Amino acid sequence: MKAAVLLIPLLPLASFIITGLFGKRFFKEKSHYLSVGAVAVSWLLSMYLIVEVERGEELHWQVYSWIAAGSFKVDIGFLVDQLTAVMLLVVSTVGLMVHVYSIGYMKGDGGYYRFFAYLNLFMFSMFMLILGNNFLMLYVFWEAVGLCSYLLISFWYTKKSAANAGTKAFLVNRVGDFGFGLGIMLIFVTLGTLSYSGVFEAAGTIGTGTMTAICLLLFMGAMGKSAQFPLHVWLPDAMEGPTPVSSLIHAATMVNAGVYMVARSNPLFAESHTAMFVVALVGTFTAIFAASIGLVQNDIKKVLAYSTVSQLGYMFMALGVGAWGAGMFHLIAHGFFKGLLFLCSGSVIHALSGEQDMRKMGGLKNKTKITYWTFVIGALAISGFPGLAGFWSKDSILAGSFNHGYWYFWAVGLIVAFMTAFYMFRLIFMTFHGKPRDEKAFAHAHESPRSMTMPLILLAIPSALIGLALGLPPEDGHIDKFLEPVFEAAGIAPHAFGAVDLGLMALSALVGIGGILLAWQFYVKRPDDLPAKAGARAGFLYKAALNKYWIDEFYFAAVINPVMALGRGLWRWVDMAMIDGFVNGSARFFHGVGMALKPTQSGKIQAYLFSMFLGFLALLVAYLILTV
Amino acid sequence: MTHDLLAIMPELMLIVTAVVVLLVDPLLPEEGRRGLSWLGIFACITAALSTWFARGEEFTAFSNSIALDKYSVFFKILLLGVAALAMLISEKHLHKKQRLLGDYYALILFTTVGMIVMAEAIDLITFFVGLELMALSSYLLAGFFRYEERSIEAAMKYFLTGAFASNILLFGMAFLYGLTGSTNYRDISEAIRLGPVPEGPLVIAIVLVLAGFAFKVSAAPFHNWAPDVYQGSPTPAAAFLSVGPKVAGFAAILKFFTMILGSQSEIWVPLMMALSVATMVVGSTMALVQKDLKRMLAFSSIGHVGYLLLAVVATGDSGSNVGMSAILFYLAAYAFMNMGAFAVLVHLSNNSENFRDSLDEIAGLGKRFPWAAGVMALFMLSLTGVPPTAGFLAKFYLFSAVVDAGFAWLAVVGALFSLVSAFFYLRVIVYMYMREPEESVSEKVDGRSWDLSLGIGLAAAGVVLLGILPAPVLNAAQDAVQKLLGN
Repeated sequence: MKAAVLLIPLLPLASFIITGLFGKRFFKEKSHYLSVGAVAVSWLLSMYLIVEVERGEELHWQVYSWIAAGSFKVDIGFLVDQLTAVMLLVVSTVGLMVHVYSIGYMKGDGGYYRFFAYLNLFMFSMFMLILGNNFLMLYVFWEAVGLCSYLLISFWYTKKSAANAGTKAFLVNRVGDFGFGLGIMLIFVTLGTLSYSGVFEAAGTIGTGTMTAICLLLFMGAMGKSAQFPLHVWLPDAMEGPTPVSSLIHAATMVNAGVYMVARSNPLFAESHTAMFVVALVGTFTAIFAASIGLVQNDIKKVLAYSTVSQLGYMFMALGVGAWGAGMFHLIAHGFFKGLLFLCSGSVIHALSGEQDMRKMGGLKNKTKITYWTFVIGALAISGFPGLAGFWSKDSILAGSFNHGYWYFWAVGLIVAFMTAFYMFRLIFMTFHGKPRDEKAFAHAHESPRSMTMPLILLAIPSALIGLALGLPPEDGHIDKFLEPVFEAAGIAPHAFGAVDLGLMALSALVGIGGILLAWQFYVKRPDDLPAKAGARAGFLYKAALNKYWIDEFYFAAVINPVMALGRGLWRWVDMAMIDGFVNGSARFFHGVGMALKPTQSGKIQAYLFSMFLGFLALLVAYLILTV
Repeated sequence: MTHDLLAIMPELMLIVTAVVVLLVDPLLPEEGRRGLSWLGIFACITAALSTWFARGEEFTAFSNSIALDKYSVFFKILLLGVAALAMLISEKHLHKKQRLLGDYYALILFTTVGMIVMAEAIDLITFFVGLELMALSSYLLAGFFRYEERSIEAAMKYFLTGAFASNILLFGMAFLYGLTGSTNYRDISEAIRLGPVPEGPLVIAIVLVLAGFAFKVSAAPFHNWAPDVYQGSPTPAAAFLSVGPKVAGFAAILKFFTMILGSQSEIWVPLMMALSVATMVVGSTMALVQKDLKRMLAFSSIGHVGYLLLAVVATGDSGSNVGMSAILFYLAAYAFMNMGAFAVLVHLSNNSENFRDSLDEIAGLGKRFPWAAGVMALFMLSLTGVPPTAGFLAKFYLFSAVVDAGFAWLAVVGALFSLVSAFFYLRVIVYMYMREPEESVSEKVDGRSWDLSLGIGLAAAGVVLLGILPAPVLNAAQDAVQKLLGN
C-alpha cells in the first residue's frame, strides 16, 4: 500500500520532469506516450488503493520531517482513508481520460510536449493535495495546482485574452488563498500542530468564536478555488484554456479541492453552526445565481462553466446543511458527467474547427453521432433524469437539506434543478438539433478521432450508472455507508428511506423532466420566436443575466480601477519617491561600500600581508576595548 | 601499530593511489592519462566506503593524536566527496589546456589527506602537519597552469600569504603549548579549565589562533588572497580550493574553539562576532561590484564564511549542538552548490573558444546553453537560499540556531546581508535569461564531457535532495557533534 501511495504521485512527477526536459528535442509528437503511460499506472494503483480502503484498510503514514526546528515542525506524510479514496476515484479516472483525449485534441499544437508536461505536473500536485496528511501540504499543493491551472489557462500565451484570463484566475485566487493561509496560521497558533489527526482530535477544545473564524477563513480559500460567489469570476474566463484543461481542472478535479477541504475539515466545521450556515448560504446562492447566468450564455463552454459554478454551489449547500455524504456523492457524479460534458464540447469545437458560439451551430446530430449521444447522456445525468448519476446525487442533496430542516435551501435547490435541466438541453438543442446555422462550418464538420471519442464513451458509462451503484437508496446508499467513518465527528448518521423521501424524489424527477420539456418547446418546436419573446418579456432580468449581473464591471469600478489609481498614486509618490529612493539608496549604499573597499583588493601582496597584520592588531585592540 | 594503521586506512589508500598515479603517469600516452582521474575517484569512493563501514568504531590512534569518531567520519566522507567531485570536473579542462598530467590528481589526493588529518587531529602537531600538507599541495594546484601568468601569480600570492598565516597560527599554538605543557587538545583543555593560566598570554594565543584560522577560511580582514587566488587558479582547482580547505578549516575551528577553548568563550566570542560581521560586510558588498564571475563567487564564499562564523559564535556561548550541527549541514550544502557553480563555469570555458569568466559573457546563456543556464540558476537560487533548495534549509537551520542561542540581532544582520547577496546571485539569472547575448561572444566549440556533466548533475542532485530530504545528512551532523561536546 505504501509503495502504491508513493508511486501514484511520483509517476506523473517523473514523467513531468522527463517530458519537460527532453520533450522538445526527443519526444516531440510522441510526448504523450510517457505521460499517458504514467497516469495509466497511477490510475491502476488508485483503483488498488480504493479496493484496499473498501476492504477496511487505512493508511496513516508519517514519511519524514522536512523541517524540525524547535516547536516548528513540517512533516511530509500521507493519509489514505475513505475520503481520499473518493477523490482518487474521480481524479485518477477523469485524469486518465483527459490525457487520452488530449492526444487527439492537441495534435499538431506547437507546445504538444509542454502541454503533456503541465498536465503531468498538475496530476502530481492534485494527487499530493488529496493524499497529504496535514494542512501545510494541503496549502502547498493547493498553490501548486493553482500554478498549473494558471499555466494551462494561459497555455496559448500569445493570445491576449488567454494571458489575461490566467492573470485574472491568479489574482482572484490570491484573495481566497489569503484567507486560507490566515486560517491555517490561526490553526497553528491555536493548536500548535497542522496534522489532520492532531487538529481534529483537539477540535473540541477550541472556543466557538475562534473556531468560527478558522472555518470562515478556510472557507474563503474554498470560495476562491471552487469559484463561489463573489470569487467565481475567474472560472468562466478560465475557459480560454484548451478544452481538456477545462474538463480536467475546471470541472472535475481542481475546483473540487475546496469541497474536499471543507469535507476533510468536517470536525472543525461541525463545531461552528455559523460557519456551516455561511457555507450553505453561499453555496445555495451561488447555485441559483450561476444557473441563471447559464440560462442565457451563447458560448458553449461558458454555459458549462456557469453550470460548474452552480453545481459546486450545490455541493457546498450539501456540506453546509450537514449532508456531508451527499455533497461528496455529488462531487463524484459531477466529476464524471461534467468532465464528460466538457470533453464533448471540445469534440464539438474540434468538429467545427474552433467555433464556440452556439448561435452558429445546429444540426450536428447526425454528423457527430458518438459525441451527440454521449453529450445527451451527460446532459440527462446533470439534469437529474431518473436513474442516471445526477438524479441520485442531486436528490440526496435536496432530500438532505429538506430532512435537516432547511426547507428554504431545498426550495431554491429545486428551482436550480429546473434551470439546470433547461440550460443543458438548450445547449443540446441549439448545438445538435434544428437546421445548421453556419453552412460553411457545418459542411466541414466531422466526428473526432478515436482517441477523443473513446474517453467520451468510457466516461459516459459512470455518468449513467455510478448513481445506481453508489447512491441507492438515497441518503443510505453504499456511498453514505462508505464515508460514514470520515464524517463520524460531524455526527450525521445515514437515515432510513421513507415516504417523504419518495415524494421528494418524484418531485425532483418531475422538475428535471419539466426543464427538458420546456427547452424542447423553446429551441426545437419554436426556435424562431419563443426565445426572443421570452427574452423581451424578461427584459431587465434577461439583460442582467446575459451580462453576468455586471459583476466584472462592478469589480472594475469598485476594486480594480480604484486600486489601480491608488497604485499609480502610490507608485508616483511613495514608491518612486520613498521606496525606490530607499531601495536604490540602500543598493547605492552597499555598492558604495563595495567600491570603497575595492582599493583594499589592490593585488599587492605587501598590502595583503599588512592588512592581515592590521587585522591581528585590530583583534587585540578589540579585545582590550571589549574587556577593559 | 596495526590498530594505528587501520585508523588511517582511508588516508593510506589516497596516498598509495597518489603515488601510483605519479609513477604511471610518465609511462602513459596522452590519451591514456584521461583515465587517471577515475583512479583517483575510485580511491576516494573506496576510502569513503571504508570510512562508512567503520563508522561504529570510536577510538584514538597514534598515542592520542587523532580521534576516530562520528565527527571525523562526517568530515572524511564530505571531504572525500568534494575531492571526487573535483577530479570529475577537471579532466576535460586540463585536456583542453594541454596540462593533462597525473600530478594534478596526485595533488588533489594529497590535499585531501591533509584536510582529513586536520579534521580528525586532536593534537596540535598532527593538526599542523595536516594543515601544511593541505596548504603546500593547494599552492601547487593554484599554480598548475604554469604557462599562464595569472595562475603563477595566484600560486605565489597563495603561498606568501599562506605561509604568513601558518606562522601566525603556529605561533599561537606555541603559546598554547607554553601555557599548558601539552599538545593534546584534551590535555590543553583540562589545563586551561583547571588553571590558573595567565590571562595575557592566553589572550594573545587565542587572537593568534583566531587570526590564523581566519586566513585559512578567508574571513575578513584576512581574506584578500581568496579572490586573487580563485581568479587565477585553473577553474576546477578553484572549485576545489573554494570548498575543501574551508570545510577542513571549519572542522578544525569547531574542535579548537569548543574542545580546547570552550571554557574561554567570553574571550573569543566577541572577537569571532566582530570577524563574522566584518566578513559578511566585505563578502556581500564586494561581490556586488565584481564583473568577474570567479571573483564574484570568491566574495560570495567569503560571505558564506561570515554566516558560518555566526553559528560558531552561537555554539560558543551556549554550547548547544544545534549550532554545530547547523554548521556541518551548511558545509555539506555549501560544498554542493559552490562546486556546482564553479563546475558550470568550467563547462562554459570548455565549450567556448575563449571564455574569460566575465558576467557579460553569460548574457543570453539561457538560449545558447539551456542546460548549463538551468543548473546555474539552480545553484544561484540555492546560494541565495530559496526553498526548496539545500541553501534554504542550510540558512534556515543556521539562523534559527543563532536565534536560539540568544543572538537574534546577529541573525537579523546575517539575514540582511543574505538579502544583499540575493542581488548579485539573481543578477546572474537575470543576465542569463533576460539579456541578449553580446555581439562579441566567443565561438562555441565542442567541449562535451560526460565526466563534467555527471559532476554537475551530482552537484545539482545534491542541492535538490538536501533541500527536500535533509534528514539523513542532518541526523548524521547531529550524531557527529554529540560526542564532541561530550568532552
